Amino acid sequence: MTMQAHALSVPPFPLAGDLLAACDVHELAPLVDRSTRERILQLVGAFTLPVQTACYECRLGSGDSRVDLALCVFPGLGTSALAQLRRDYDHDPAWRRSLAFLQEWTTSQAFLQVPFVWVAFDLEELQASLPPPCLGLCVDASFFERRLGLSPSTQATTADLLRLAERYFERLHDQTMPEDAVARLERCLDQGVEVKHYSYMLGRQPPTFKVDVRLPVGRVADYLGKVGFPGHPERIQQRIRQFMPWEGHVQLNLVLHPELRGPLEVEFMTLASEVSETHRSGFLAHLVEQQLCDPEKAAVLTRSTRNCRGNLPNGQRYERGWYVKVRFEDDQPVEAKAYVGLLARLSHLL
Amino acid sequence: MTNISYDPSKREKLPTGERKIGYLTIGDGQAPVKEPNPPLEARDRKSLLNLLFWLVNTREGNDFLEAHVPPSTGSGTAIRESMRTEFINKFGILNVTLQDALIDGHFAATRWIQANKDMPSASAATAREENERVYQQKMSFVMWWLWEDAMGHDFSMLW
Repeated sequence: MTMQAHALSVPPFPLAGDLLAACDVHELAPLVDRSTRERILQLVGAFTLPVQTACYECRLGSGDSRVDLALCVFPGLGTSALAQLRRDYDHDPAWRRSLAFLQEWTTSQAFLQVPFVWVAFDLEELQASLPPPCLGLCVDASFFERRLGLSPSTQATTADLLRLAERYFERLHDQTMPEDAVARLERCLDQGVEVKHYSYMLGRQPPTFKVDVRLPVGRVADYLGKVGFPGHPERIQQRIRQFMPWEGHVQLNLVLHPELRGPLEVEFMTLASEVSETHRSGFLAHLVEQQLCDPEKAAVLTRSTRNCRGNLPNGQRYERGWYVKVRFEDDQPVEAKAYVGLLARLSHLL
Repeated sequence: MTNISYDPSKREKLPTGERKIGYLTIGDGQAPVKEPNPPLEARDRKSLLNLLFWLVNTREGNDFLEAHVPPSTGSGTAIRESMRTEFINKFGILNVTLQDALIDGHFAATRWIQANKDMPSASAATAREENERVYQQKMSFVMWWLWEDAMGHDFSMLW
């Protein structure tokens, strides 16, 4: 395809490496420093599937340069690229199961229950190759309708969602989902919250299963109490409100397998349209004040809010967006992580 | 300048009265649209919005859909590929995910209509329900795509 043909078109999704390479080192340092960026670019070259978003997961603390990676894939992955990956990683059982899942998902009606998938990697400093991924399945079948501001026309029942969790648990973790984990999940689903993702973390030992739920910030204590989360839900909620004094939603990442346990991970500002620039700056100021965020890293995020776009080499545009996850040990915030997403724009090239 | 042409062969008698099927044709008007830079016409000819308008509102687009009726079951590979080729060549839709959503939505809509005609059998009811789910999902995806496009910074640059 020539550049001329590309110039007026709705482009395909780019490769993760192209998307990440398009964002210059100066735009994200010290959030993603030069050597980390180069290392990730080198690693991600092996992942040859098209992505809609490539996301750096950056620790915000001073002196902590660790960065993980998450890639968002939509159906239509391309059979030849997937087949090549399956050949490349066939020696690793966790990879093999992950890619077999992607193959089935992209070629079946599974898109109806799982509109898109996050393929995430926990990266160590001396990582020589991509580790087995953590797969985050969006299980909000009405995701696109919600984004359009519509009421979901159909809603998955708790029974549907449990079946889905068990089926993919067996497929991805290669074992039956334990009954106590199913019971914990049922309690988490039964409380009138929006269920967003199931995370099958094949890259962790022991293999871990998480559920992400979205709920109004004022309901956190009540919800944690009902699902039996250890600790003091009221105190956790009070602490969360110090970060987020405005009304809105948070997302809770709850580890359900091997057990329901802390630390509690709370995601703030995941829906950009719900958050103003004032909210963002107040949030970052509080993070810095709590010594959870390096001031220079906060400055990068502030710049990303105001100047958030760029071009790939072929002219396709991308935009940057970000949100923050805070980990709480009991009710104490102990670590913050920014998810800095590079989103391929969908429009035609200019 | 917009004209509406009616097709008498597609007139249907409905319980509520007679309905005529019309198609839009758009031509140059007396007062030309002010051209932004780069020219609007070239940019918009290759877009999802232009494709949707063509499919829904023009005779050529309607005829195209009618010529690509999916089989009652199965993947309809040849028809899919023919539609894909047209989307690429005529509207520059290079994104496979979007091509599939458009084609799947068309297949589901066509199969829903057939199932509706076959009612009230139990299998028709199931087929109608299944195809309605597929259609809703695929169309909300396509509309989301337009929404994402419109909410991007590029959109405001056109004003």
